[in-house]
Amino acid sequence: MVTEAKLSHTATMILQAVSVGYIYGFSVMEATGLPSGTVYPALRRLERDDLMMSRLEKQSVADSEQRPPRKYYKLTTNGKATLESARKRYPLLSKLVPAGELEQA
Amino acid sequence: MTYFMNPAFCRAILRVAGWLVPTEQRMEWLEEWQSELWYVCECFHPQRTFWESPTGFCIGAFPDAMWMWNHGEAAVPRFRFPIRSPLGCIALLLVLASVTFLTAFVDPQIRKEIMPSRNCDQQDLAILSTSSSSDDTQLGTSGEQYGRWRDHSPSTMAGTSFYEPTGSSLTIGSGQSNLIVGWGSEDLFQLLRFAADSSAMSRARQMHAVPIFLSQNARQRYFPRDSIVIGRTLEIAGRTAIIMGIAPPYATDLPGEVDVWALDDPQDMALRASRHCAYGYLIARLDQKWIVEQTEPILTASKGERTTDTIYVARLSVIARRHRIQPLLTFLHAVVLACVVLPFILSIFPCSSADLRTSDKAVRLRQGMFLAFKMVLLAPPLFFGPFILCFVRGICG
Repeated sequence: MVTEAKLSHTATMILQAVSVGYIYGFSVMEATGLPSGTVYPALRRLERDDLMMSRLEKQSVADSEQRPPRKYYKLTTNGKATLESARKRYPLLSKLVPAGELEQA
Repeated sequence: MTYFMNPAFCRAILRVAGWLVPTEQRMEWLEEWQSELWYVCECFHPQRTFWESPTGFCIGAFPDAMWMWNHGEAAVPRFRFPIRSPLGCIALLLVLASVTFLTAFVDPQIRKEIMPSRNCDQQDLAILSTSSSSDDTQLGTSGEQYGRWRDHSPSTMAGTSFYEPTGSSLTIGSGQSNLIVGWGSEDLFQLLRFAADSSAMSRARQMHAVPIFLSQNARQRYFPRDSIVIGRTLEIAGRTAIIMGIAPPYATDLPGEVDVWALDDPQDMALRASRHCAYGYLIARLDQKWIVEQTEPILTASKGERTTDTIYVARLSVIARRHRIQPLLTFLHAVVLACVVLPFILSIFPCSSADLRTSDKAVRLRQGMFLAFKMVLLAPPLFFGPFILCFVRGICG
C-alpha cells in the first residue's frame, strides 16, 4: 500500500517540475524560480522519502556533448501518487509550473 | 558585476561549503555542484538577479551541505542522538537531575554551600581584626594583638573572645585522626552561646578534662553511628577531653574550619595571648542597637600603647553571605540558562515537522508539557553541576 506524504507547496512545485520534464537541478530552478539553496536540499529530501529517484548521466554521453554529466531525476510510483494527491490541494500547480520541453533522461 | 561570474570565486565557495558534507560523500557532492555550476555559468546573462547568478547559486550550496551534514549517510551514526522518544528524554533528564541532586546533598561541603545561611539569629556575632577586608582568610589576629585589645573592648560590645585553630590529633578508643581544634578562651562557649550539658561540664571540672564541642561535620564524621556522644571522653592533643555538646550549625561559618571547639586552660590562654606566632580569631558580641552592615572601624587604641591599632568589625552574617550564593537567584539563573541551552542540546519538540504545524490543542498541550518538564529537569544539573565540579576539582587539585 502506498502511503501519501503531505508535502509543502515548495516540494510539490519541485515534484511537479520534475514530472513535467524539468529533470535536473538547474532546470528545476529555472522552472520554479526557486533558489538553489531550496531546490537541491528539497530534491535530496524527496529522493530520501522515495518520491523521486536519481541517476548520474554516463560520462561518455556528457563528453560527446562537451559538457559535464548531469544528475537526472525521475518520479517514483509513490511520487506520482503523492503528486496526484497534492494537485487536488494545489489546483493552480500546473499553471505555476507549466509543462516544458521534455528531456530524455 | 564580475564577482557574479568569477568561476574561481564560485568554486572556492563550493569548496568551503563542501567542508560541511561528510567526507565520504564530499567528492561526489562537489562534482555534482560543480557540474550544475557549469550550466548556471553557461546560461547566465547580466539581467538576471543575484540569486540567479553563479555566486548566488553557489551560496545556495550551504543549505544543501547543511542538509548533508544532518542527513548524510556518514552523519547518521555520528550525530543522531540515541534517545528519540519524549519519555526516553524525560527519563534521561530525570536520572541526571536525581544524580546531581543526590550528589550535592550527600556531600556536606556542597550542602553547606547550597543551603541558606543558618546564622540569621546571630546578627550580633562579629569578627574583630586589623583588616578592613571581610574575606575570612584575612581576618586573623595574632595572640599578641588579642592580649593588647582584650582590655579595650568598647561599650558597644557585649563581650569578646579569642580562639586559635590548631591541627591536633584526636584519639577515640584505639583509632586516631587529625583534625582542627579551635582552642578558645574561657568565655568562648558562653559568647558563642553553645549550650553545654551541665552533668558533662561538672564531670569535666572534676576530672580536670578539657570541655569540648564537636562541630556538625565532626559529629557526622567521627560518630556517625553513635546516638549519644555528649559526655563521652576522648583524647585531644594528648589531653583528656569530654564532649559538652554539638556546636550549632552557624559555627561552621566561623573562620578556621574548626572541627572541635575546646576551652584552653587560663594559663595556656595567657601564654597564647602573649605570643606573636599564635594566630587566631577575635570574636565579639555586638550591642543589639549597634548595626553594622559592612566592615567598619570601631576602635583606636589610646596613645601610650606600644602601637596604635584600628580594629575593624566584620559581622559573621556578612562574611557568610559573601561566601554563599543566593540559592533562589542561582536556581532562577539555572532556569534561564536551561531555556537558552535547551534548543541547542535537545530538540524542543521531538516530533515531525507536520506535528509542529498542527493546531490540535491536545498535541500543543503535550508539547508544552514536554518542554516544561525538560526545563525543570535541566535546572538541577545546571544548578548543582558547578558545585559538584568545583568540589571534584578541589579533590583532584
